[in-house]
Amino acid sequence: MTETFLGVQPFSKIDRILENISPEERFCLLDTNVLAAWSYRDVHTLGEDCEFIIEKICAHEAVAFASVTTRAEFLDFTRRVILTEGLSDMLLPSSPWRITKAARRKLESLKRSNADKVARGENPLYSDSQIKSLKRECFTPRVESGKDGWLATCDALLGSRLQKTWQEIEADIGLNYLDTQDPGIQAILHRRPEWSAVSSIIATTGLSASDALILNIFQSSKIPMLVSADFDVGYAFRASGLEGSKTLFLPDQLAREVNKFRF
Amino acid sequence: MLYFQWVPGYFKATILLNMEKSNFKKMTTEGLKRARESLNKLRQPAKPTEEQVRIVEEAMIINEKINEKIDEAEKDKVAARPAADVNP
Repeated sequence: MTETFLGVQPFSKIDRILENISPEERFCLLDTNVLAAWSYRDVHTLGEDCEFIIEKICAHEAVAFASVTTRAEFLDFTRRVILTEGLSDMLLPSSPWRITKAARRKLESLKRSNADKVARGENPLYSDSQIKSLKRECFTPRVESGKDGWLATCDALLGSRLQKTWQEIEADIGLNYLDTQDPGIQAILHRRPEWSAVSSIIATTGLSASDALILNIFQSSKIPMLVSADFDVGYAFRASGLEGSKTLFLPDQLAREVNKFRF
Repeated sequence: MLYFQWVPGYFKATILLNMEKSNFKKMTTEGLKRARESLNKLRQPAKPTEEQVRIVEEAMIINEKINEKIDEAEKDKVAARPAADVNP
């Protein structure tokens, strides 16, 4: 029986697949969710799966890439993690912050909402709209008072941390930033990534723009493997006919689900 | 250029990168360990300055007072409305 290593493959097959690819060809593109889950594995619902796959990539000395979209999404994920943790910490008795009763009520309600998220199997992070409402309702006075508590909060919580997080991950884990303007990187592109292709991917499968950007750079590159933890990416990968030429790694359960579709 | 090479047992996509792999960084176990330590450090609770604590507290107090006034004004508005408007 012929076994293909192309198409959607489960994380558990990574050893067999990478062993069958020569070391010079072990290039992979990482989707944001994999990087985010790995970096906050104790918080993230997919932390264990993504820790497994990153360690395998590392063990096989593969070269990993991250695109500009991954970088932007990762920064946003990190922003939400740091703000969620920092703002929740304001409720602790040992916290140096002095908060009003109204702010405490709001933060306690968000804490309960996070507990509900955990019960539903979601990541315990404040959503963007929750962060916005907290900023407007508690930290930033509705009239000009010259006292903007939100800016002081961001300075204390995010400050230089955000930039450091990406820099340290890039340097430490050996992540290569896929900068399409870099002549060195252009050598691994088949063609210049085009916006028309991004629109086409979105129009075909209804994929989000950020996922379509990642899929488009993967399609435009000579990188043979994409590692993701997103059902939508898997679905669009198959619907775009990429499975005949490239490999997409997904967590086992997702890979099984995505492979059931017939296009 | 991407081409396909038949290998007994499976279809193998071979890439010609025209570049040495050594031009790129590789993931290493040591690197993963360092990254974990760095991330753990970055996730330590923030230590705000006294000034930051004061600004946030003042902003919250001002906000609470403003919100109370807005709420009162809203209540007055509702009370001033004709009954038909309140329960159409």
